[in-house]
Amino acid sequence: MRNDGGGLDRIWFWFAAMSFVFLVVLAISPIKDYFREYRKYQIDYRDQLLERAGTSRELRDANREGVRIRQIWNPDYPNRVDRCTSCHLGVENPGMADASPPLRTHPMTPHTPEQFASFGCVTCHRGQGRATTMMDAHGLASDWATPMLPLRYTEASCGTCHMDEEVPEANLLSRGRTLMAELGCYACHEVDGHEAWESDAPDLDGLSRKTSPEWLRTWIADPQSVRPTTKMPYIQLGQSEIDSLVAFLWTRPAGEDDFLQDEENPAGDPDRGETLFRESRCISCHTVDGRGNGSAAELSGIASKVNRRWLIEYLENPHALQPETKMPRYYFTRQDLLDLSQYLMDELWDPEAPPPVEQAFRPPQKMVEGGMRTFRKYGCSGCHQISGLTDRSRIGPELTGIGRKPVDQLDFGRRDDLPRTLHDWIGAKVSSPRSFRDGLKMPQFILEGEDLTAVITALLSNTGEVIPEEYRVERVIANYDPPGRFGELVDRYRCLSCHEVEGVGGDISTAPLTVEGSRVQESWLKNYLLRPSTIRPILTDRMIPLRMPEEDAAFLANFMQNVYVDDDIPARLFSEEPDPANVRRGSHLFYERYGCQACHMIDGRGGYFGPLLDEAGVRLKPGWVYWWVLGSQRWRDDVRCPDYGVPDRDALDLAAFISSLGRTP
Amino acid sequence: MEPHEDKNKGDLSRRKFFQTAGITACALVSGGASILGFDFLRPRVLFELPTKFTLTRPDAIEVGSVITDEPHHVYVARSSHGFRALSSVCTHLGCITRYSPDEGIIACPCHGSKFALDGEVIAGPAPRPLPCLQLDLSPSGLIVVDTSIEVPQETVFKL
Repeated sequence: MRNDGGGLDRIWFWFAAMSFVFLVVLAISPIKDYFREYRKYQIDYRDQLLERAGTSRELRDANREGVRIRQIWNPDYPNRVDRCTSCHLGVENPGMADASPPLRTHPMTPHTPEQFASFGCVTCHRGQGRATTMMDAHGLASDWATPMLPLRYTEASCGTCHMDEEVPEANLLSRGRTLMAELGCYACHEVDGHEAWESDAPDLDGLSRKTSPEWLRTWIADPQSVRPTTKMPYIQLGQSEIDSLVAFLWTRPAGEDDFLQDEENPAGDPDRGETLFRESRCISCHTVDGRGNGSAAELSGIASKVNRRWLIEYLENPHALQPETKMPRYYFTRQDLLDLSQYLMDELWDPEAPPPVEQAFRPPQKMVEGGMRTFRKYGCSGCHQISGLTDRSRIGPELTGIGRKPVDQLDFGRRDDLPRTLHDWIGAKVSSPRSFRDGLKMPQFILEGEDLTAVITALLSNTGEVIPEEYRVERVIANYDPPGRFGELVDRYRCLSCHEVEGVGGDISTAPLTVEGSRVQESWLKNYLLRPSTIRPILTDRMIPLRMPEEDAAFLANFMQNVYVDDDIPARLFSEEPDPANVRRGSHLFYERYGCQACHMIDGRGGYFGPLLDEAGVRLKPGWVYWWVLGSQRWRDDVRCPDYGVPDRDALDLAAFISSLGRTP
Repeated sequence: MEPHEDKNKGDLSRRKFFQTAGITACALVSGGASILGFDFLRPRVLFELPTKFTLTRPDAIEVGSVITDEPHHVYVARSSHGFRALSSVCTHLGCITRYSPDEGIIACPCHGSKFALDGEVIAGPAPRPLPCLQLDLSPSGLIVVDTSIEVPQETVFKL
């Protein structure tokens, strides 16, 4: 009986204990559920809403906020939900701007909070949208392929949908994409959408006519030490590779005599050459000792690089030697060429350059062949054309999709010091490419600070992701091909190297030519093309005197007058000469009311920030002045002339006054 | 014998205690398990459109006109009294009704039910008026409709 009782006791004891254990085990689930991370944020958010509530409606809304998973469902993607808003509760609520994260309002972006509801959070920030804990959602769990982007690279996500090189309001991304094209990443790496990229590096044929083997050696060994602004990277070649490469380049095309003996060209007058150099405004594009626009090559040291005979040929017609150059063809006379080249050869030599050897360089055939292999191996033909090598295959790996590559697929090589993240890997690859392993071929670019961040951002933007059609903002490739004789002249004078027409062309000139015909008078334009005068004294990059024949100037002026026209700008404002009373009133408005003389100079008085208005009556059309005064930002949105909201009558009078300037009544 | 009896009594009360505790815990476990089981079957979130969403600005809707939001199956009508949001799902067999601006009524293409702009049934087999939904204004001044909250038929929102 006692034994029986003891046995039963033990059974009941174990029954009670096991039941209790079951209860505890069962309680784990609801307790875990109760202590979910987002719960405390949601309660905190409701408390803050109640605290901030000013109206009864806000109070009611705040009380209605329960604890639940919140999500943005994106029906355009298969099964994609972002539950980030379960913790980041205030993103769409402008009243939470001063709250602490994660409850804070989303900072202003080009997209409105209403638009967030259509593409969610992960599209821009990456991470794991479905997760409801911080570690998982931020992608910090080790097996999640796309962790959150650090905020400094977030602009990369703009590039997921915006395929254009210039993405509005994403300056870093735009800069990175521009840099990638400029530095020639696409020469070696294939990237979707950039197959048509073209290098602007010079052709390498005929180097033996142009330069010396000594200069070439120094250049190839380290281009940036010769010219810090060059786009050519440091290839890190060994001495024997450099020697053979020079031998190869020297013999393209084969059978060229070198140009050291120059008997055809007598010495010129360097003083007249200097005057010509200044008059021709070479530094509107070039630099000398770093001074000048910088769109074209630095000219100091040019005498140590090229020989005079080549220089004369080049100045005579640059397009014959380098068809792709942006340099226009000036009409220099034979004497001009002799004097200008004499000045350049006398003045602009580099004291550190190796002296040219007076003896012809005849490299052995074996060295030439070795040089060709080196040329191929380092993918020089990605940027430079040279006869005999037509294959321009890209030697680097394809970069499409690099911006989403999972970290475990990246080769970190020797770089144990790097954090195991995609952006750190890309940064190291771009800034010191050879540090990963021996035998890598990518050259060293100079990329630091902001530029480095920009290029990393641009690379991260290349996700190769398939996104719904309606989200894509396609890349627009501006194309302008001026027709007929006008086109030939535009090509000869390389107008589009500096000026912009319909979104194509350079930005050295502040004046796009798209509406030039509505802007200036034909007779003035013709004279300006023949003998450019100063319009903006503040600029060093001014219109260059091309010495073009008069018929070319007349044709260009006439064509622009008839074709580069905007119908919104009145062609004729006054049926005859404007009333002197209007001119007087306009003058009063100009000086007293709007204070235009703060920037504009007339008769030597006034500011020099804006264009001179001395000859405005001969230069500008009255209709243009009127249209300009009514809102200059319509022309270009970066115009600094303030928009005073000038009434129509004042605009007419100002146009009357400005059109009277420089005209003899 | 006294101590023995005492011990026996102690044994009994301990057994009683274990019995009660065990059975209570068991009951709690089974009760809790069934509650958790039901809770598990009920989804917390679904892959579906949110019930609360923003539409246009109130002044984009003219007085007397109706806008239709196709994805959420909602009408927003503006009368001279104010705004009203209606579900566009017919209360008869769940077809999606259409607004006909010429007649100024909402009509169901399946079985010919017709509704007035306040949701009331004018004709056809529909048993109930179209549900009237919660309307609100977002902080940035856009109309917000919440399809999960039904409001009494006569409610008109002034935004």
